[in-house]
Amino acid sequence: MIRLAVNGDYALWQQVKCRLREPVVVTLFDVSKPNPREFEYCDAVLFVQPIGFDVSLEEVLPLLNKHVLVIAGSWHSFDNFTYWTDAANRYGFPLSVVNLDHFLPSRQTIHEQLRTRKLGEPGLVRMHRWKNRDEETGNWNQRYQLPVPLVLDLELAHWLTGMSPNLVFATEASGAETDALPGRTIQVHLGYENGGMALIGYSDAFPCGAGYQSLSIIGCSGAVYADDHQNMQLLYQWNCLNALRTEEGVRPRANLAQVFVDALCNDLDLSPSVTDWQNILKLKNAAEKSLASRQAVSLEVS
Amino acid sequence: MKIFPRTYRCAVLSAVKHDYVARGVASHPRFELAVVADDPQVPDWAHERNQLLADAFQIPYVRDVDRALREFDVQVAIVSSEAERHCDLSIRAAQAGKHVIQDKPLTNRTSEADRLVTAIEACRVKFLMWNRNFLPGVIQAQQQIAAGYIGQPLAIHVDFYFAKDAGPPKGTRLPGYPPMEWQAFQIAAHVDGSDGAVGQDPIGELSNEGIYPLGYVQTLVGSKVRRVFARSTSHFHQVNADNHVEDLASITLEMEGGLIGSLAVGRIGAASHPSGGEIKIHVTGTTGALVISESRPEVGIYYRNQPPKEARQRRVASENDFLLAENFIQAIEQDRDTILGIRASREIFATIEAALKSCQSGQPENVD
Repeated sequence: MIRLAVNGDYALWQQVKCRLREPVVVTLFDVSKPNPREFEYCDAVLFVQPIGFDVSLEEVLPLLNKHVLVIAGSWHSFDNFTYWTDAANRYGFPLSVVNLDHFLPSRQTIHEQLRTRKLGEPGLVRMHRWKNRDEETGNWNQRYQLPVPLVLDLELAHWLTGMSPNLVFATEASGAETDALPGRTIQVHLGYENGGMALIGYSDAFPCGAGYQSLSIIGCSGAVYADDHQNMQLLYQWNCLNALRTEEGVRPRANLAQVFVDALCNDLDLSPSVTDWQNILKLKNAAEKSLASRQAVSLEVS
Repeated sequence: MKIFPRTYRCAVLSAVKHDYVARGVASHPRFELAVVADDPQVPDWAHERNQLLADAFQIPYVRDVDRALREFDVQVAIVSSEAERHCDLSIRAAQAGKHVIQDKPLTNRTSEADRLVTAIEACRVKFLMWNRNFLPGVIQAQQQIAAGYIGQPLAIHVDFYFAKDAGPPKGTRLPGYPPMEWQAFQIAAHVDGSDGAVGQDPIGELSNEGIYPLGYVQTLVGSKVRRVFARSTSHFHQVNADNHVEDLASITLEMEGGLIGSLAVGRIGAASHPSGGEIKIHVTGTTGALVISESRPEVGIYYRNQPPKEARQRRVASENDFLLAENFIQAIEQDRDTILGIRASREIFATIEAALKSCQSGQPENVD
């Protein structure tokens, strides 16, 4: 029996729990008012929702002494990463940081094709991520800073290909009209030592809508295409036609929880995720330097 | 009042690369192919290809370009030679007073590009670079943008992948064997349609195909490219690796007005797509966005013993050839530019040259 303390939507976690192979007890805690007693009898803690810096976990963190898993997608800025790694070092609890997109069935399928070398050596990674400006945008609207979702996609490219770039060039749409908009349109172009490349585009300039993602990877012996465009259903309402995306449901959270529970049961070390993130942050910093300087920036391959 | 012919007679000046340009023009009822011509000194394989097209249309094949332009009462020249001869043939046609339709790429030399611009403008003839801007999906994208449905464009991204092989995969040349010779390979590969840019000078996929996605950028957002950052590699095919030309490339575009964009271009191998390749256009604007599949409308066709190379999704309802030819007629008769005229083609050529330079320098490069 594994006991997890989680935050987030309770109904969602009930759905997740019944999909896990091992019996799991889920206790929900409120991230805005964490109570040390909520963590006393759990085996591990999952931070799914964002924590603000106005919320003090200082009372809780020294008592945790449990494996803590944090979902990076919930962050408003990468200061959160520093916060968690500092806390883990200070109080000695094992920390894992994950990108929830790893657990999307579509991304897992792609990862499996790459891992088994069916596509051959990756030559080009292409991603688009569009969000609407109504979604919470955090504090990444600062000039020359990469938005968190874009950094997550850099990490996703790294996880899928297993390659680290040696060159980065970033650019952003600008101009009178663009600058007046609340959103941003940015792209990051990566070069790899093997000659491969990645183009990762991001926009949160849309006034409304459900957002859009696409991911394609071209390998030397095959390719994968995961595109929301392919996964749209049509809804006719009188004289209006809408496209509806078929979502991947609760499965990503269930996949994440299963991996975490398996690691706990088998005493697996999940800590390399933190080292990987530190490398991603170096890439983020290089991309931001490129945005500011309008020049390509070289990186040491880790 | 100027009187225009009911039918424009065309001289096909070399059909060694593709005959699809000549066939595309001929599909319009106001064009007819009158003669195929080439220079006498071209090699036998080139004469053979030219003769095949002439036979197919039951027209003469003349081994004298200038005579064909002079004696066959033609108003239009269609140029589809090796890339290194494109400009020379087009210039000779322009100087003979003929309007010019030319296959891609514009050229592989900057000096030739400039010479062609001068000739076309000095001779006051029309020029059309054959392109794909009238495919149904591209027209649809243009209509949506022109109608203002996505507001002011902010970014445009084009994926342009040809899922075709080009001989043996990279890494298959055995030790001690010589590098593959470009032209010999392209000539031999013509039999099964897997040839690329035939000619003495090796040409990579970005140079050869870049005109198409950059043509989309030009027609959809109309902004000039000011600066590029690019990466390229020979990732798939031994012939590209042996001749140091790319079969995969990506470009970041910085355009006038603060727009940004990107291209991904490659000849990515037949195994990579069941229907010839994914070609997509993404445009984001101030009030919306577009995701366009260039291949649509299409019909899915699947059957037992289907040949592996046959496309599972078949493109339908394309009028690209007809509309390009129609556009060319309108340009001649209404004295306006074609959808991809000489200046626009020169800009695309400059963008590709800057991208290739960026691949070498590892830094963004200005587009001259």
